[in-house]
Amino acid sequence: MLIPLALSLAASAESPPEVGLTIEPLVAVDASDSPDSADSLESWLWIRAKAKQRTDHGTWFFAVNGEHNVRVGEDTEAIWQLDVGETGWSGETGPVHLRIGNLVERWGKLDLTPIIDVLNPRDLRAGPLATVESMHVAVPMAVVQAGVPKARAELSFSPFPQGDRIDMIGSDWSLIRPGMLEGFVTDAAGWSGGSAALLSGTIDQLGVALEDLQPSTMRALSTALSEAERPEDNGLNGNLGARLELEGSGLDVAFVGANTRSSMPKTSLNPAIRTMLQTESLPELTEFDALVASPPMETEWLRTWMAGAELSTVLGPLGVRAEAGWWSNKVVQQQWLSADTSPAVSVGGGLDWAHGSAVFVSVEGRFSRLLSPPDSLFLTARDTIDLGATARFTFAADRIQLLGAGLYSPTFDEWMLRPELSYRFSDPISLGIGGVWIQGDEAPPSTLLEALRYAGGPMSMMSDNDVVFATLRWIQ
Amino acid sequence: MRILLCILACLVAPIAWADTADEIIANARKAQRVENSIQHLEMVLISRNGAKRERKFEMRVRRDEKTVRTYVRFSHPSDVAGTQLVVVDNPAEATEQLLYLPALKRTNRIAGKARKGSFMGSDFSYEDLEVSDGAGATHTLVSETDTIWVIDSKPGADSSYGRIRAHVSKADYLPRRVEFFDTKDQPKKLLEVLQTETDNGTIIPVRSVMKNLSRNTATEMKVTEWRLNVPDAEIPDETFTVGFLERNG
Repeated sequence: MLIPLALSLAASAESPPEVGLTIEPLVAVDASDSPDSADSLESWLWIRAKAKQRTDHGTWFFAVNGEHNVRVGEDTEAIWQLDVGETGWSGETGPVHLRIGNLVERWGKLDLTPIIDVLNPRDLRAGPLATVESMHVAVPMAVVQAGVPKARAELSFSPFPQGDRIDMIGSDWSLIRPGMLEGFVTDAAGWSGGSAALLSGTIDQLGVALEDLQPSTMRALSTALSEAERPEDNGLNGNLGARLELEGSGLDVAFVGANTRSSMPKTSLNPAIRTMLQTESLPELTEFDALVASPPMETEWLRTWMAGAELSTVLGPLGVRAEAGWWSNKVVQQQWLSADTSPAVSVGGGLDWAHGSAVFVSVEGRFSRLLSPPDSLFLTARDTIDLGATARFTFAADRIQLLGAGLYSPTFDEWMLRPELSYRFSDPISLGIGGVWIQGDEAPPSTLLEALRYAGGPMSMMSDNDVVFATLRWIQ
Repeated sequence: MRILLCILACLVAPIAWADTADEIIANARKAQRVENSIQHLEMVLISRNGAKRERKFEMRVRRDEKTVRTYVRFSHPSDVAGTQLVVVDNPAEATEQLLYLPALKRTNRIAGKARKGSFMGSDFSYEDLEVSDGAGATHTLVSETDTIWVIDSKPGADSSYGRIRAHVSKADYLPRRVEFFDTKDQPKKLLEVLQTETDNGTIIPVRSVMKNLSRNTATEMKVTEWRLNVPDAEIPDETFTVGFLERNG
């Protein structure tokens, strides 16, 4: 719909429009010994259409992203979603440069271990199967930039920020994996406790109802959990960022500051429910008042100040990148669906080595510290170290490409490896095969309660999600 | 002499006679002086079995005294559209190269050996895009006929080439054929100018081909549109900054 609009605008333009369409299906098959309830096959289809038109007065750009996800397990789920991608206008207005529309504004220099890339939410639903292009979610934003060629100041405002896109329930990459909720309710029906005689039958019926629930209803529940208590989009809760960029010979530096709404909510599980889950027993009849006195879970979307810096330069044969950040009030996940906040700092760096466009090797590392961490932490620690590496080798005049990416966390002694070999048949068509291998010290959770009190790291939690995949990319 | 995209896209005007290698090179450089220009180019990558792949890009070149700055933006095919390259070439300083990749939305600084490798899968290297003389380059007149000089150049130590042999036309000082040898003096690449056009007395090599002799691949470069002597205001200083690349990805 937007593409013809782009083309019609081209009539008055000085250069031809750039129009592109990418269709990228990916099929992944489970390659590990995962629970019966896990999805055995998963497919993604990403469709990206874009157009760009430069005119005498600026540049129009349009993008539409379609996405189809099929998950085959105990249930077969198929989900279609259409989003507006980066769409808007960019150009000079008086002394300033303005970009306005649905934008991705990337801060920072690190790709695998980013620190200050805070202005756009991330799409984490496909886990490590996601394409680079689909990871950033464009949001309504205006960016004003002014300055001289080697020094610029920039202000950005995003009036309707969104949280990270995460499937809370129902996919192999979610916290509550397929079958966990149903298994939990079945188990809970057999729990002892003062109200067991009263509730067991009802819980049992709830279990049956859950089994019969359509996957779409479960997804709606997942969305409701992710979006619960989200502030209204009246523009008053927007994200505001400022950036100062300086460039010298062989060096560029930027300093950033922002006041943003956290991309993750701070949640607090009703203490009575938490006790019930921790003790695996139903409450006494006398405790019912506490159970219903407050909602099952309270959710707040807190704001934080952040400041940071980024740098890139060259050192002999190496490209050098670095970034660092500080947060006044970072949301930190805790066990049992709770969260707290803590000031936090992170610092990271990366080194690149390349040989033309045929060989590219990069290593990155990040150290993060929570300055005032809460007692229990979930999928993180007071101090965390993350290491990442990417290697890309291109042979036969760009026809064959071997791409490997890996992450290692010494904090949790866990790693993930994603190799991919692709062959380009022609300019428009390439085919790739690859895999994702995840290994961790801590066994992945198999029940809901194990998931809620999990003590390992984020990769360990998904370590039964090894897959092999095949992907096709058609570009026009 | 670093041989360069300049040969494909730079502007050549007849100049005075010369008879030593250094003078010929100096005159050729003067003749090939890259003025401000905006050009649209097509690059066809030809594989060993003859299969062809196409890249389209725009190139803006600005010269300020000895500093030559080149901005390249790819527009086709769509998976590389938005990829941008800046080369700042100043004989007194290390060449600076910036590469913006739209998928990452980030600018990479290209260092050291990266410049010796292939440019966007083609038979050109980033090094070939540099316009200035390499430090310490020496030139020798090997032979001459009625129409050409044959000159061997030994580039500086930081080059991937051990020797470059240029066949320079006596008529217009345009290197019509350039042979590249590796550091073991084995033939590596061959650049030939296939077609030229004249625009207000300026000779433009509109079709050239670079052959990789060891891989048996070739890259054909065509200049499809050009504007010469563009005012500085159309190629402002900020074109060659990280900020510009990241705004225009």
